[in-house]
Formats: sequence, C-alpha cells, structure tokens
Amino acid sequence: MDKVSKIFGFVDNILILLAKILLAFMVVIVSINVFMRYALNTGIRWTEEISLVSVVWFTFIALAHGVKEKLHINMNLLPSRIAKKYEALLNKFTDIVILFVGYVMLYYGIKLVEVTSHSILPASNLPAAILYFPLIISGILVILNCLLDILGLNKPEGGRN
Amino acid sequence: MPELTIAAWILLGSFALLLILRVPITFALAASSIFTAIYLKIPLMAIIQQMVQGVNSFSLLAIPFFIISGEIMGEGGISQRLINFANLIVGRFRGGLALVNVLASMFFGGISGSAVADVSSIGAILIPMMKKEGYDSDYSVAVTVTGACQGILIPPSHNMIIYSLAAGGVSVGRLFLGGFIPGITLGIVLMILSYIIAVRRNYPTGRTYSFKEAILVTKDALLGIFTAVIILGGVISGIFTATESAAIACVYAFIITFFVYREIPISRMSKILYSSLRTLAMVMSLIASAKAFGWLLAYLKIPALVTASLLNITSNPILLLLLINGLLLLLGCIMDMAPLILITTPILYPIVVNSLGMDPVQFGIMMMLNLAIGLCTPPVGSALFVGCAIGKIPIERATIAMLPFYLGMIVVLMFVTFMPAMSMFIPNLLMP
Repeated sequence: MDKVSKIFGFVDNILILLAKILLAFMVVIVSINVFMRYALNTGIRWTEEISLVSVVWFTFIALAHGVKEKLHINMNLLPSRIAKKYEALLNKFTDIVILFVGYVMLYYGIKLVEVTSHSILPASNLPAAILYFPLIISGILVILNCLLDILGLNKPEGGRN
Repeated sequence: MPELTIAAWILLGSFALLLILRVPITFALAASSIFTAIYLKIPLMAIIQQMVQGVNSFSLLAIPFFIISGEIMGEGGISQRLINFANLIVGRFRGGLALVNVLASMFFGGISGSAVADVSSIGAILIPMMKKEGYDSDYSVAVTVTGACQGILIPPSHNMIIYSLAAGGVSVGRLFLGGFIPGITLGIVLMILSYIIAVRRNYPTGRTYSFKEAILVTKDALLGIFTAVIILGGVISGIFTATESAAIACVYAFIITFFVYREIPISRMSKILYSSLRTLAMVMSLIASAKAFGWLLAYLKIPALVTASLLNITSNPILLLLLINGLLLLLGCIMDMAPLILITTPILYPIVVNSLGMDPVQFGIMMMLNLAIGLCTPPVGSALFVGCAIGKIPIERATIAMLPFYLGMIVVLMFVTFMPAMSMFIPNLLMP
C-alpha cells in the first residue's frame, strides 16, 4: 500500500509542477499582450482565452492538491471537548463529503467534456472541452486523496516542495 | 410548504450543518449546492459548469497575480526595507517601533493586501525586536495584528477583487481608490492609540538615521512601494486593466527582487510559486464553489427574502446599517474573509445598495473593514493566530491587549458607514 501513496505522490508532484508553470505562464502572456498593445500597436487576440483556460486548469489542480495537503479552511464551531472526542469520526465524515463532491466533479466533468467535444473556443480555436477536462483530473485526484486519507495513508508534506 | 422554500432550507441548512461538522467551507458550499440541485431536479451538470464559470473570468486573474507579486516581494526582503523606511519617518518618537510597525504595514498593504502575509513577514521581524527593546509582548502582538488588518483597505487588495466579482462587476479601480482615506485614517487612529499607550508605559524611542543612511533607506523602500504606483496608476489612467496591472506588477517585483535587491537566488522562484499555489488553492476553489452556491441563492430568490425580512425588522436606514455591520462583525469573528465576501455579498448587496442607496464602492469598503476587524478577533482570526504564534502568547492575552484597538477600529467603521465622502471622495475625483 505504501507503493500506492508513493506513485500517487509522484503524480501529485508532476501536477504541482504543471500548476507552477501555468502560474508563471499566465503572468508572462498577459504582460506580453500589454507590451504588444502599446509597443507594437497590436494585441494578440487569443491571449485572454488561453489565460482563462490556464486559470481553470490551475484552480482544479490546486483544489485537488489542497485536499491532499488539507489547505481548505474549515470552521471550529464545535466545543473542543466534543471535537476531540469525535475527532476520527468527524475526519471520516469530511472525507466522505469531499469524496462525494469529487465524484460529482468527475462524473459530470466527463459528461461536460463529451457535450462540448464538438465545439471550439472562438479566439484560439482550441476544443471547448479543454475547459472542462481538468474537472476529470481533479475529480480522480480528489477521490484518491480521500480514499488514501480514509485508509490513513495520506501524508501532507506541509510545503516542502 | 412550497418547493422553493424547502429548497432554500436544504441549501442553507445543509451548508450550516456541514460547516458545524467541520467540513471545509469550499466543499460545504459545493455539497449543499449539489443536494439542493438534486432536490430541485436541476441537472448537476449545470452546478459543475457554474463552478468552472466561477473561475473562468479575466478580472479574476488579478487575484493570482497580486498573490504572486506579494510573495515575490515578501521573499525578496521587502519587509525589512519597508520597516527601515518607516523607522526613518516615525522611529524617533516614543514607542517608535510600534509606530514603525503600523506604518510599515500601511506600506506593505500597498504591495500585498494580505493581512496574514503582513503579520507573518512584518511581525516576524518586529515582534522579537520590540520584545528585546522592552515592549510588552501582548502589546507588540496587538499592534502588529491590528496594523496588518489596516493593510486590507490600502489598495491594491485582492479581497476587493473578490468583492467586485461577487457584487457583479463593481469597478476595481474605484474600489482601490475608495480604500485610501479609510485605510490611512485607520492607520493614523492606530498610531495615535499605540502612541498614547507607549507614553503611559514609557516605552523607548527608536533610532535616528544619518542623512546618507536616510537617502539609501528611502531609495530601497520606494523601489518596492513603486509596485503600488504601477498598479494604481495603470488602473486609474486606463492604461491597463486591473488584471494587466497586476501581471506587470509581478514582472516588476521579479526584476526588483532578482536584479536590484538580489538577496535571494533566482532558483527561489520555484518555492515562491509553490507558496502562492498553497494560498491560491484555498481562495480559487472557494470562488469556484461559491459561484455554484450563489447561483442557487439567486435562483431561490434568497437575497430578496433576506431584504424583505430585514426591512420587516426596521425600515430605519441607520438601524439597518448598524444591524448589517453587527451581522458582518459577528460572522467575521467565526469565518474567514474570502468565504464571507463570497457568501454575504450577493445576499446583502440588494438591501444595502438597492434599498438603502449606498454606493457599491462604499459598501465594499465597509465590508472590507468589517471583515478586517474579524481577522483579528477570536475565535477565528487568522491574522490574530499568526501574530500570537510569532509572539508566543496565548490568544486570550493578545485579545485583552487589543481592546483599545478594537474600539478604534469600530469608530473608524462607523465613520466609513455613515460618511459616504470618506470612501467616495477620491474615486469620484479621479475616476468619475
């Protein structure tokens, strides 16, 4: 089972790398577009669309990574005595809710990709499905993260990357 | 009971229940939206599509950009330079370091706009320094935390962009400008309060600078503060949009940090991008799921219901505004800033803006200040937690030391609420 979480950590690392590249890429193309507009008097029409595709990909990769690293904030409204007593149960419940959301993201992500597979984005001519594809990746990762967490195999790295 | 009323109860009830059971806010929003859609037989595909649409917006891109430029500047040693500059201006007075703390946060707010980043970078330097010079640790923490929350009002602030999105496209430029006077007023009020306490406790005065040092310190800090000038100048003059200015600010921060300050190697960019990612994971996911939730709120006409029931309690605008401020303060005590902006803006906007006639910009500033106060109040105050962790004191002790500052913040909040000119004067002057 340790192998599973190792392979999984590897996939996570690759996606993190992709997310970091997307972040830098968005800064660069938006800046280049400003430069082109003023220096060369011509904007690039597809930059806006590409940066939007990038931010959607980034968001859903980050969402899944956030599940693994427990970055999503919650509230501590329960009295600490009760929270401590039922700690394990509450964590399992949270995992199940997140798992459910991940499943819905995956299932309907696939449907959205199918529905949009024949249309294209107007400015960049990319297939419109590219906008919904990250839902599938994110959904799978969220589900796996939750399963590992329920089995006690998830180890958040706490920002060592 | 009509179907829509039941659906409204399912949405709000399951959301509250999931929050109490400690489900992260992002997933509580998503799950309660999914439950409601199932009950209403709305295709779930529409909910998921809303989540994607929530982040599929060009003006939203400014949020990652502001976070990145703040991270680059923070990592590159801007905090120490801002502190030096603040020290040059106010360090010589009694309680100098406390004044320096508030002023440095004001400058820092002009670069980052994140109260937590502010406490962790300014506080990490100044709290130990203040303790060493004989300031009480609870006082040091209190000054740092309240000072940092003031930075949220000083433009640029990514929270204002979240508000602008949630309110359906309020001008980001006008919001930024609107924060100026309230932010600076709050800073001055905090400085006066810390000065009074410093005199009574006889805290030391800070150091003075030679003329040559002064020039150097000023140049170093102004290079950093220029980020804010790029952003504001670009947005006000219409040369670029808020998003574009934020991207340019990242490029500028990159150049200043790696080619002018040169304190860290360029390989550190990987770490900077990763810590931006960690912050953004929470914010961006929230924006995505809050979009689906907000869509259902509107579908079920919940904002109209809230407006009607609030108007039922009282139609006196002063009482209503006090009530809404009280509500936001209370919610701010238990929930973090970004989720609250996303959840309460669509609900309160109709009553405050449409019924009471407040300008959307003023409402935005009022909300920022309310929630900024919330960041430094227990039981949930992320700025307060970080401050207490750095100062190594229990939250109760810091809270007691903060009482006079809370009072000052509430007074400024009342001015912001009832004096439209405070938020509206500069935006109306520069971006009519």
